[in-house]
Amino acid sequence: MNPASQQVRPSFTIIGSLIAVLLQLMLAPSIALFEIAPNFILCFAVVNAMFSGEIRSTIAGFILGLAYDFIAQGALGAMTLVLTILSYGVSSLNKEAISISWTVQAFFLLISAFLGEIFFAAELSIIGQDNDFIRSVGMRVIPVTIYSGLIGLIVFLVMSRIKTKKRPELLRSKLK
Amino acid sequence: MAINPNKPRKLPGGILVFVLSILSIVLMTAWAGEGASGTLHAVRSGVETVTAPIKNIGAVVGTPFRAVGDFIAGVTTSSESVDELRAQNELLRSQIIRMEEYRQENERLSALLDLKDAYQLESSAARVIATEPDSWNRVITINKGSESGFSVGMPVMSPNGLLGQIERVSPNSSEVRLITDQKSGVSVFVQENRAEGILSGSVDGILYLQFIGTEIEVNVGDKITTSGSGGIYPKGIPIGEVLSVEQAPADVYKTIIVAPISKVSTYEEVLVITGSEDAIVTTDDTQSNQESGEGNAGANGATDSSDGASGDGAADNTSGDGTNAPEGAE
Repeated sequence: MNPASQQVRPSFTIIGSLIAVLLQLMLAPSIALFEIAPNFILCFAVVNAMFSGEIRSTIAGFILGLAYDFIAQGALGAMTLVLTILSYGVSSLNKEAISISWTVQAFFLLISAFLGEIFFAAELSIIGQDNDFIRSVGMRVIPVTIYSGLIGLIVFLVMSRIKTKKRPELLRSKLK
Repeated sequence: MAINPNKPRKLPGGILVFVLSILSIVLMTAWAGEGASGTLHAVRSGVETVTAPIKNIGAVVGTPFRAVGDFIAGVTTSSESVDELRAQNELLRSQIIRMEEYRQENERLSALLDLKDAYQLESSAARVIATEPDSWNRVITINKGSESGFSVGMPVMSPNGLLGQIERVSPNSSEVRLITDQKSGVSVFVQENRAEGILSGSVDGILYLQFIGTEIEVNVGDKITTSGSGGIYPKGIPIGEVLSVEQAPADVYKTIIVAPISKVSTYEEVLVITGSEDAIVTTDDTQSNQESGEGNAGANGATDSSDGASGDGAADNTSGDGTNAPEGAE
């Protein structure tokens, strides 16, 4: 079985997105430590992109980012832009290379979460909603990355045990 | 296997991400340019109305998780004793600030006999139902909105001091941006020397007192209160006290950090000041209303103790805070 040629079902993307949004609404404020809340939506967007194609990942990233912007208090469109680009980027990576081991996937998840948060902080600085970018990196980006990364690991482990859908070319190769 | 000529071509991912990125930037630009009464803001307001009950459920469901977080944060101390001492400390500090305000006010009145600086505040209590769902904004949600007479711009207080300002209102909930948020700014006095500055929040919740010149003496422990400038926050509301004062040789202003009296995590109920600047009642107005308006109190119909927007205030407001009973609070 080649994990790189398998994708999760579209229903999983839809249901997982809904769960991520609900968790962000209901659970994130309660499990915040020292006012640092995890970003369930970003985590799921990245993990979904690891197991989905470019089109579905990009669209899911756009919609998830829009949902985040609507339920959070920042500028509308900020996280939308971040998750759109981030999801496309992660889904474009060589999935065979990512799928070598779960530690490699966890590493990519952590890096993606860091890039997403720092890109978001940069956006806020550019549009004037953040007064101190360096402080934001130290007090928000890094802690949120670590916390979100831990949450994302749990999501990834759950996802890695869910059945995946085989691509048509794999079926055609079996029929020959 | 032959290629199906009727199979639709897939949109390349690169074009899709480009289009969606442009759309995101357009959304950001439209959001920033349309103002609070625009379509996107109205949609977000609608989303907040829909999600407010979900947040409320989450706050209830998340209570054990919050308890774990509080335990981790205070693992070396007895949480019960700390909570009790903290509450006593905050109450005493607030009382000291208020008494100092009264003392200084009395001194000014003695020197200038025609100065009148007393007013009564109309307020309504509300319950905190949710805190911010992300790490970048310091916003709380309370369980009352436009249907209770709340509107954007109304100050919000804890029983001990200033918490923030209503930023967005839905029919049954309101979003309050805290003074510790980086987008907040409050015009304040240093109580000891009446130096006026701007108290700003930051991304990590630290309060900075800005625009205090290097020639002005500010000491650790000095009390900070609202100045009333701008007409948003009433004058004299305690906010906190100076935690540190730093000054580099080339600085024009001092770097002053202020510790807030009110920490939102310790309160479940807040007070919203519903009386506008026009509705602020002075002692003379109260006396004249009492002399000539007693017969009209019933006709005004402003006797609902939870509605602070009546304006006359004579029959409903207590002296000082003008606190009303929380509506629907348990």
